[in-house]
Amino acid sequence: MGIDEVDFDRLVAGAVPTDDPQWGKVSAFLGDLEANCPPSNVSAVEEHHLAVVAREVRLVGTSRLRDHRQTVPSGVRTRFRRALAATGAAALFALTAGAGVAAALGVNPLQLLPDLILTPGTTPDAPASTTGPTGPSTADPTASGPGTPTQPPATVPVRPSGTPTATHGATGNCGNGKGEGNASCTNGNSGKENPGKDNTAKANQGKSTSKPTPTPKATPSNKGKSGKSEATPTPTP
Amino acid sequence: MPLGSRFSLVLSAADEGADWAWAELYRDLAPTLLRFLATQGAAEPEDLLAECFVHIVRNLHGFEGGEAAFRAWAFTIARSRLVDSWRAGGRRPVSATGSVPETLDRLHHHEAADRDMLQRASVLEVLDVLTPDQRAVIVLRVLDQFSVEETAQIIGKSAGAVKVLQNRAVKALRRTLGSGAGHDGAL
Repeated sequence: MGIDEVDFDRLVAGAVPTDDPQWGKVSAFLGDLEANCPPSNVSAVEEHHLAVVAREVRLVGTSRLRDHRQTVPSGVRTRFRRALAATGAAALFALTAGAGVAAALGVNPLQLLPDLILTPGTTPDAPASTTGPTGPSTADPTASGPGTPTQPPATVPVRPSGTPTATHGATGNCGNGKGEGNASCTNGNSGKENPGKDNTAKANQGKSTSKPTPTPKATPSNKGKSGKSEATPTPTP
Repeated sequence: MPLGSRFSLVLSAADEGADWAWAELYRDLAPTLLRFLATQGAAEPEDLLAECFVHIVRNLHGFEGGEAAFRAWAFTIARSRLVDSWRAGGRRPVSATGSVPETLDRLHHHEAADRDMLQRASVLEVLDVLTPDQRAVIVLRVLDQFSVEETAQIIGKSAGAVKVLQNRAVKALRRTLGSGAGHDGAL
């Protein structure tokens, strides 16, 4: 029998069951299929098809090249943006930290900005006459001290966040701690041992007018006591 | 004619856009692809053939395999294009134009010059009694010499389904060729 179990490969090969002649016709048909149905002739359409293929090849090549170019710059742009964002964040952090330190020391950080901008790296040898980085114009008149003219903060040394010598703070050990000329080591002038600088006093002066809270020392006697200014904000007379 | 040992070289060159490589691939595949499309009842087999090669160009970069796998992949694309054309046309492949006995009679009583064309036409008419899937299995397995697994990949069915289809196809051919009673229609 084997009708249902005919081996297809044997049938195609001509090895048909002898009990059923009809399988012979099927075997003959399948055996002659290749001869009766040869591969088609494509000569009539070959040129047209190859032109279509060539055009598609160009399109695919252009597309791949464009995709490749887009991926490279995007990576560079991404890294640049990240670096820019990181730099901006770091600058903002530094600025905020500096402002915080200044505020903690009783100095109006905004008054330090002109000094920071105008006097990068100048040495702090200016006498106490300087009004300091706190904006002399707004200083309390009583705090200006004896004949201390308001001078531009150009002489205030600016050393960006480097040296922690201006630790005025509680220790007041700016410079020699003597208070004279050490006012320059003012709060907010980060890192400077600025002997002879009256900045603290001026800073305090400025502060007294601009901010109710901090600071004190609007009086000349406050020179050198920079370290305390922040701690004991006394109102100026 | 298979490319044999040159296949890797030709395929690499085609991937890089070499026109000569694409011409070789076309001459190697196009005749059998066109035959497959014609035997499957495609309304416009030449247009489908062009679509097949466009698809091959677009996706060659992602192909990996040898010559046999490439042929199977090309026929898979052809089968997909064929099914899409059926769906777009809202119909199935063309049916037989006449009874099989009449076709066979014409085959034996015409001039030899016309015999080749008649032979092809008669073969197609006999194949038309099969369902589309049965016909595809017969053509792919007998004419193109694909294995059961390759045929399954091309028509998108399992190997077991392919075996069932080919068994049913030969039974249908046996009934059609054996009876010779104008047994048209799918079996």
